[in-house]
Amino acid sequence: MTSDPEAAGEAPATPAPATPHIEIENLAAGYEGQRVLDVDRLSIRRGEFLSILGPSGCGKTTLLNSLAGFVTPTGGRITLDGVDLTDVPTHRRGLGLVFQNYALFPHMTVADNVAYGLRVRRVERAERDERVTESLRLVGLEQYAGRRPKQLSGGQQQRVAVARALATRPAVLLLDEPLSNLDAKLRREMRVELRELQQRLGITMVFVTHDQEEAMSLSDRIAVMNGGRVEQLGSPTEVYRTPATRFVAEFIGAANILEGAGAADGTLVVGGVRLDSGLASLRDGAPVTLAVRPERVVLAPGGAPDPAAFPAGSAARGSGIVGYRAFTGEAWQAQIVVAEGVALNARTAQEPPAVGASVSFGWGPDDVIRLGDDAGDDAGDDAGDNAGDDAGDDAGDDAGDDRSSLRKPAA
Amino acid sequence: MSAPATAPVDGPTDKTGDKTGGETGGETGDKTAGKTARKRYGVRGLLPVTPVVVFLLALFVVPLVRVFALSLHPVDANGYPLDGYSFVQYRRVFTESFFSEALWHSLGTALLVTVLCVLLGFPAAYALSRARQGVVRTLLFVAVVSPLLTSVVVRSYGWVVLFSANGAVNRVLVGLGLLDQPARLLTSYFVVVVSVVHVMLPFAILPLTTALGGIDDNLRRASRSLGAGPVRTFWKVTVPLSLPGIAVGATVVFPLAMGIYITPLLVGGANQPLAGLRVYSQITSVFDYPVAAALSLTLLVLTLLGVSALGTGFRFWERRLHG
Amino acid sequence: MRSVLPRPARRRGYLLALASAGTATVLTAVAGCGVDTGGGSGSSSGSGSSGGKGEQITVTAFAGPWGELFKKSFVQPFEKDTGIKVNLVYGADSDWVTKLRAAGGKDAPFDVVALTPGSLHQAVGGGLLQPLKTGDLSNWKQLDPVLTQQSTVDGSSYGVPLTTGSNGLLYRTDKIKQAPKDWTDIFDKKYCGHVALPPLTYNAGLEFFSALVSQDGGKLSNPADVDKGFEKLAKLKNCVAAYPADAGSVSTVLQNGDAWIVPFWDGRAFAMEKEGQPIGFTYPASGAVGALTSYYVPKGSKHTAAAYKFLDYLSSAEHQKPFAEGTFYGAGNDTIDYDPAFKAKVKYGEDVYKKFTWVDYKTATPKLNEWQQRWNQIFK
Repeated sequence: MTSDPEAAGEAPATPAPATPHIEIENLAAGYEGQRVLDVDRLSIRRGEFLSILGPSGCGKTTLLNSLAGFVTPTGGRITLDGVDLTDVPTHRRGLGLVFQNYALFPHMTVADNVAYGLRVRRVERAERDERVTESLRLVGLEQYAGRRPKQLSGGQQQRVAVARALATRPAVLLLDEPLSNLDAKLRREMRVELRELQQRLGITMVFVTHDQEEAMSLSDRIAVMNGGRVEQLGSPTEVYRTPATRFVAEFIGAANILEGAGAADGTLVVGGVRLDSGLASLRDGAPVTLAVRPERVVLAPGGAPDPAAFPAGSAARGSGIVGYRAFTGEAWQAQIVVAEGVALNARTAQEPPAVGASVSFGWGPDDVIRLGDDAGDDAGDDAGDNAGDDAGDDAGDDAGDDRSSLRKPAA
Repeated sequence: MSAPATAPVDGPTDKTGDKTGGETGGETGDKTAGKTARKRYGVRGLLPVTPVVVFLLALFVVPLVRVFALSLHPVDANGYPLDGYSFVQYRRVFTESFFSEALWHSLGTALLVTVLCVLLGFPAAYALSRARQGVVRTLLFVAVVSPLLTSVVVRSYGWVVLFSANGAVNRVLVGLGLLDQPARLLTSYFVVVVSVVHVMLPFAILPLTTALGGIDDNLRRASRSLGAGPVRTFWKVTVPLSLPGIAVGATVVFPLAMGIYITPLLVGGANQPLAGLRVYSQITSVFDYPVAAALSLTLLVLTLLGVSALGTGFRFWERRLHG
Repeated sequence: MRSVLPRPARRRGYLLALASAGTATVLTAVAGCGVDTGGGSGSSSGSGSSGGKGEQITVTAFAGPWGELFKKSFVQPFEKDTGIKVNLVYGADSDWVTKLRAAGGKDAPFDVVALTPGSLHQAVGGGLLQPLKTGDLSNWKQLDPVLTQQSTVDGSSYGVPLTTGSNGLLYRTDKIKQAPKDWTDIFDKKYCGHVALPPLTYNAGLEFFSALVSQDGGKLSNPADVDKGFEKLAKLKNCVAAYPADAGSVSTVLQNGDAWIVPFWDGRAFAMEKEGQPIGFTYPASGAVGALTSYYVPKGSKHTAAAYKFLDYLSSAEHQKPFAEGTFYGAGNDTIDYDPAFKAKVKYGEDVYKKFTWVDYKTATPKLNEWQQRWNQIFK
């Protein structure tokens, strides 16, 4: 279950110098009249760990394939260190690639696999052997140099794949869901190793995944993609705390989406029920979409509880009936039915009231996220302010710039 | 002369371990089978094999044995088998150059045809395996398979027409000024090899296509991403990994090429030193059946040896590559 | 129902049964080799050879237009007049000999079979044919003596001559302006590269070789003469365009223009000419080679009376005439008065046949492999 990265106390990433390493402009690709990729602008910084996150079919693999040169986009261009890659074939781009199914050459030993790229570059035997050993040492597999891929476990094969890609010292490493074929525990371990490796080498990594937990824990920045477009590009904190769109809000962590008509007093009507949004005011009568993270929802038994039942900073916003609750080990999950078709998910440390009992829910004013979809100009400003506050020093301005340039134009 | 009784029965199945255990002693059979955790096959397990065994026995083993029996007779002046058994026909096969030359020449031709089929079939298989679902792929597939849909006689005759003095090939050569007058292509060895290769090609292309199709696409991409161009990727990755397919193609084409006689007969004439042709002419013109039987059985043994040599060679090669 | 035996024993029993059944089959088949009656188009199990209505006989004929004409000239009138049904089997004499051999002299698959002299000795040697009771054949005396002699082995007549062709030089009249006169003309340098030479294993090839040997008065039975024959043949080295081994291939190489001249039969030549092709034929001055087709009665035929009735039709002048005129081959019956068209082209009659060379198959067949090998040395 994804939780707020800052709250979890994650160490901030090494400050990445904001120099673009790869620039993607107006990249478009599609088959048979269907747009698979439609990216206006994406700038990848030198030495950063960028995750491209999205559900299947969102175009993230096509984006990676375009970067690698396996797919020729129908429009736009990709620049690496100022060099236009459009006419450069894959084998001259100098990128490293790690595949989901490892793609180790089954007819070669581990050492020969790793040496493959070096042989292509006609590295002298002595130096080649040296670099092969070095690469294998980086991933902790120097003992396995003489083995064949089929003699290795999945995790070991993936490490060899990484070593092989790194042996040629590429400027950029592209990884296509490299951990998806591993079991959960191994995944978490390798995640850490990968990140450490990246930081040690200072290499730019573009990491494609559908697993938001992975993206959040590894990346300097995340590009959230949907339907071929980048919906938001920002640090994990930004993307979590201030999702630009409803899709991002729902994809990263879970979110309770409240969609309704706002009122000047800061309440809104959702599904025929009036709730207190937690914001000071809303544009009267205008449609508004808000999101609240389930773990920010506080529950108190009873329909009209004592305000003191809510901890400081939060207040009651509405009430309903407990529809469902479950204990998942780390927390309690509960679903509260507010009205016909309107339900809220809450994640609490304390046990919520029993199913069928009346309960009140609430949150603090900072826990409300206004979503960019339907927000008018006012909402846009607010979001920009929020982002500026929460993003932290390093990427604040840039993040704000990036995000606003990627926001969907108001309908 | 008696045929080995257990050979046909043991042949088609792999479960010799269990069976010998069962036959030599029930208890030991149980113990050995019990120790290996393999599934035991009771009578019911062997029942599905029975029809195949019966079919093979009746329609393959029995005729083969009868041919062998036929080959063991000497003949009179008219080619009729005489009483009494002897190996004189086999002696003839190995000492009379009429026959021995045919065997060696068949072997050489079959090897040549096999190599050519693999070399020529590879590009076609490559294209076919890379083509995506759609019109192009269907067309390619039809082009490869359609020769198999026409009779081999018709196909061979097509070559006769093509290579005749008035045929397309000669007309082009003369027209281009490369020849003063049409060349006598029809009886040349070259034409025979070409037409046999043409007949055999689909048998090489199809297994190659399957093998090439089974090579993970990502391997090619990985090679490219490591800096290898298309040519290097082809030689270092694609070809070594397609070895099983090449082996299958060669193992199918070689025996077929060893025995083929219709195509060489139509294209090159009945007097070529090919074993299949000589068996044919012994039966239809000379009526000497025993020597024909001896020649065909020798050809069979030679083919089996050739196939197992090919198999061993490929296995050796694969082991060197894959480890 | 479960057996009371423990499982391994049950399986063992099954396998033993299978193995013994297999062995038994194999041994029976091996022992039965030779006595097996084999297949072949069986003659119906008619009731004895009464030669009466409703009976059926099996007769062979060569495939193609020859067979069609055969049907029209002999089979249809025979069926109409006698009511005996004729089951026609098309093929070539090598197939028929094979089937006769498989039948082993009993329960023959044919009642009347066509053979060329090459197969005749084979068949007689294997005891596959029965000698003719020439007294029972009404037209016997009308049949040409030279031809009947060729169907005689060791003094017994076996065959009724149907037609005889002459093997001579067949050539394309548009490519060869001046007609060849004799066998030696085939060696003319002008034709080098455009000669079709059938191999010895095909009748026409052996007939040609026989002609080369006997031209100088040699015999196939004399090895020195045979050597001389091969020397002559070697003159054609590098001059041969094709080695057709059947009538179809001969036709093809002539039509393609690959070959301009080939030793072949007069009947075929005139048939092609009739079709409009530019084909001519020369009866070589030193003597054409005879190519006879006769009909024989196999041993073990169950319908000999009906078979003899058919042979009567086969040998009658009335029925042989249309057949001969249709195939351009001289018929066995000497009393036929042919149409002018036929007379103009085809050479026939006892005097002509007397001048034919005939292949000595008794000598040739056992030596065929050896000679073919020598032939191959020249032409490969």
